[in-house]
Amino acid sequence: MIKFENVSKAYEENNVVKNLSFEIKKGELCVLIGPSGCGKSTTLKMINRLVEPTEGAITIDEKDVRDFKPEILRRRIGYVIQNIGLFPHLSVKENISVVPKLLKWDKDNIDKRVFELMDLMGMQENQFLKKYPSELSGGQAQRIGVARALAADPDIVLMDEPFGALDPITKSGLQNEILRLQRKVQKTIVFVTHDIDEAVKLADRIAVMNEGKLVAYDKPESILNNKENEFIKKFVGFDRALKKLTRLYVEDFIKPYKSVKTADLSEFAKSRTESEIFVWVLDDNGELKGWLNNDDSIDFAEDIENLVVTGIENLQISPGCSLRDALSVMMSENVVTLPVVDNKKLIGEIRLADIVGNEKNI
Amino acid sequence: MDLSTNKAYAGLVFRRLLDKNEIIFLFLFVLGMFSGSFIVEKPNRLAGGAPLALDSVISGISITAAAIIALIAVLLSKKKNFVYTNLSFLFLGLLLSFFLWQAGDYAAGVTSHNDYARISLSYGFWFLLGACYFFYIYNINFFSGAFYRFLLSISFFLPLTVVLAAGFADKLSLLIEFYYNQDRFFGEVLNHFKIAYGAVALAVITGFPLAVFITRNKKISEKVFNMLGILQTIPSIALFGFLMIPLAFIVNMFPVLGKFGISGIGWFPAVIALYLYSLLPVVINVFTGIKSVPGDVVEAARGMGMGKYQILFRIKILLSLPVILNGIRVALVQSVGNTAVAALIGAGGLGVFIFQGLGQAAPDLILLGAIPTIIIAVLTDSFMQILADYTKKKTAYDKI
Amino acid sequence: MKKLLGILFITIFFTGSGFAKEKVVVGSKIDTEGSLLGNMIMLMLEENDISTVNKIQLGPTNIVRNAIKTGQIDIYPEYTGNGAFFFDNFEKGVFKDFQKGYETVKKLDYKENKIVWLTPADANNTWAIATRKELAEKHSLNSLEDFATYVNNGGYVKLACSEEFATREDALPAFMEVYGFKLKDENLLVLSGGNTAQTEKAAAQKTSGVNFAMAYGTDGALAALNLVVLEDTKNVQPVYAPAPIIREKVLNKYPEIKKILKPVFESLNLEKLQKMNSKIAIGGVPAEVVAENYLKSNGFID
Repeated sequence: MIKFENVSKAYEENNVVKNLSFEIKKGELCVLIGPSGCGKSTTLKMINRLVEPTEGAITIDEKDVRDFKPEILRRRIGYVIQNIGLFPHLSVKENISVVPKLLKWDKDNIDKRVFELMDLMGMQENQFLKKYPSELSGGQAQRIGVARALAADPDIVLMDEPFGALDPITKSGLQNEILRLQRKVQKTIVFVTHDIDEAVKLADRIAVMNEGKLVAYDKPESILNNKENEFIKKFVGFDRALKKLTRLYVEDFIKPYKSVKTADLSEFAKSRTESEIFVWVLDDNGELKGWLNNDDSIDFAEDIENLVVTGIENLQISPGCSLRDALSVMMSENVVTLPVVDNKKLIGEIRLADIVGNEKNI
Repeated sequence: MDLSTNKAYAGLVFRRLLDKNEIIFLFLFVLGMFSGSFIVEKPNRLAGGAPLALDSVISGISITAAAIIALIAVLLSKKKNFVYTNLSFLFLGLLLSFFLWQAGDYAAGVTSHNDYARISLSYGFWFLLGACYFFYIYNINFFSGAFYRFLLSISFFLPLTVVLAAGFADKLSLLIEFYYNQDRFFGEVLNHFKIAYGAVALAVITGFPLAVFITRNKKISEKVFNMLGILQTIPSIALFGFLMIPLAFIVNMFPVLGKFGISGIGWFPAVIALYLYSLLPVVINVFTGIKSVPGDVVEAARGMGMGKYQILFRIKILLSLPVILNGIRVALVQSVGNTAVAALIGAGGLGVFIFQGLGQAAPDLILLGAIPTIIIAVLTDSFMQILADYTKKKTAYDKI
Repeated sequence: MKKLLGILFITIFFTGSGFAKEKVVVGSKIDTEGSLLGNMIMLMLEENDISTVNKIQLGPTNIVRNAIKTGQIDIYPEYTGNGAFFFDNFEKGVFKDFQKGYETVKKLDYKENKIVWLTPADANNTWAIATRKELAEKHSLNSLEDFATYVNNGGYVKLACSEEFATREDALPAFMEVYGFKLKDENLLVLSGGNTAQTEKAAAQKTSGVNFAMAYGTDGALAALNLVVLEDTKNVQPVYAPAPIIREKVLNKYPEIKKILKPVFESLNLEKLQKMNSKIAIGGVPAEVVAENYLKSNGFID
């Protein structure tokens, strides 16, 4: 949908972007990444003509962007920046309404759209609409920034390090929002960042840039697997294997489990075999209580219930977690198997062997 | 405890009881009350006069009562509570109006025997007025909100206004001058506004586009500010005189211009000079305001597809309003002051009375021109401050 | 934008003085007598159905002169003696004579500026030296000749005067030359701005040791401050007789102005002017009121 054809940008002597050619497909989330000064922001800004290329052309749906008046072009493209840039003298509602008003939507449509967006961003409370930017937290403000960019329902959204100024928790939350949004509305998003973890988490495809040139443009897994290009290897970092784990989820790697109810413990003790090393113990409601090591201590115990290792809340992991998170829990709790719990119900287990062995299958 | 420790203890309590500003107020107040010259009695308008202290006008008991009331007013104000401070201001306002009323009474008595005699308010009274005004300013700053401040100001100024309006002070020299010059007075007040405000209006209309233009051009902006800065250093009288020559020349060349009021003397050169003086505060504030709009706000606006002028008017100027209004405030107050001088070149305005008074060596005529000028300047300043604060709240700028 | 320009033009249009072609603009200098005479002129014109614009007490001499020359004002009261100040091609000493001075300035102002001098008043509001009554009585000072004797006998003199009075050839230097006395710097207290009200007040209140003051012959403050004028027996000073002066163009439009003002100015003399000035300066009665009363009581207006 967005095509760069031999695009270059030079500021006097300085060549910031050199002969860039690539294409971003419709509905794709493309991340532009690279070290400082590699030209990623400049590239982004050439799409909505905040920067004009010195050579080459950029086309959207085969039409050259220079055929449109810059203001008209930009009203059809969403734009989110790091410092958000909410207008301090306008309320949240007025901020979001800016582009629809510029496009001369009528009042009712605008109001409807504002509500839709607040719903989309998970900020349903009416109180938000009347607030002013100075009254919002960083995370709320950036959510509004995103809503503002989406207000006129553009097909393309440009995001320039939008979460760079946020704390890790808020950042992570907003990244999840983007993923969720993308699943719902499927916009073409061009996202600039210097954070490889963010890129790996969000991108359908990553464009790696260095010194104005495009070094690689591929799916995240391919980028992470790239062992030939020294720059990419260094940029991705030694822990690329771990990074890959962020894109794999526990739910795809669940293994079956063996469990026993507390009431049935004595029966288990009588009929146990050597096949399992341990079993999960459930209470009468079917909720996970702990585990029981399947060894000889069972035979000598007065009350088998006392042998059950309880207090395992920290081990529980949900199916939506990434393999990287699972690995992290295993390391911090010093175990090799985790119970996968969904809605308090044990639905499976995941083992270290499954995680470590898996990358070979990618 | 012996007497010395008692005194020390009292001193300590006193010092703890009152803060620095309150002590200053009480000190000035007492100075004014016990000054040797509360009013001056002159056999005629021009002759020198005999100074009279407050006790010639009001009794010793009243003086003591006044001092006590002043002290009570101070103590009431300590809580910084709206109702108490209101009461405190009311007490002081009533005190001042009482002094004025009694002075007016005395004047009425004297002038009923001798038509030419004049009673002038002297520095004792002005000290009292000044002390109370100082107290007013100090305390009113503890209250925010135009409405509260308005009510407090009413309490302070209303009693004086009532005494003046009811005519209780009519036989004082200052008011006699006023009544003799009444017709011209209001005409000159209007002139004063026309000239001072008109000049600033012109500066805003032309300075605005100029400021916007130089925000895009750094080199020119330096030159412009240099020039405007140099203009500020020229004393107003000099600039008026300087403008006379080319303007007279032009009018001689094209006499028809004279019909439009263009001339080397009168309001025209005055407005031009004041306009030139007003340019710097207006231009520099519009410039600074626009430049200090956060870059990301402008970038977001651009990226969203706002055009150049949409960004200028809907974003940059709206956000800069507090700063811009401040600049206009400075220009206005400056103009009001300078307009008083413009009377020298026939422009009219309240300066007319100042210079007539100087010419006739009649101090109360001078005051007839000077006091309203000061009042106009102060009111202008307060009004613009309120406006600027209101817009500051709307943009909630300082929190970003 | 267009609306704004329109408003701007209309504003200039209406505030432009003298745009109303029919009205005669009456001006005067900022001093008391100027205001008195200016008001008389204005009242007389109005009485005879000539509409006027009031620009009385416009400013100091140079402002008012400039105003009439540029057509900002049409008529104002000026003094014959000032001819020596405005022009230079005249016979020396001509202004010491009332009639000759008037004729000369009338001719010159018409020739150079097309300004017509109308009938003057026979009053001499000229520079003089005044002192406190008690001092004059104590040292028998009646005239400037007596003053010269007093100075030459080592009498204490501190004269308050303006820069102009101290240095202008026809002022103090002329007095000193003709009467034969000399005043040094330490005998003078020079006030910038040249204001007889200030100098007279200084002499009356003995400010900074001042005991003599520069004064004008018709000053209203003299009687009030108990000052007496030392007579200029040798006629050193030029004659400053007040007369209305008017732009020729306006006179041609209203030729009757000459006849209207003639009797009024002819009726004025030194004592009458002094009395009226006194009422204004000391009594504080507005000039318009004093002028009106005079005109009414003399039957010029009803």
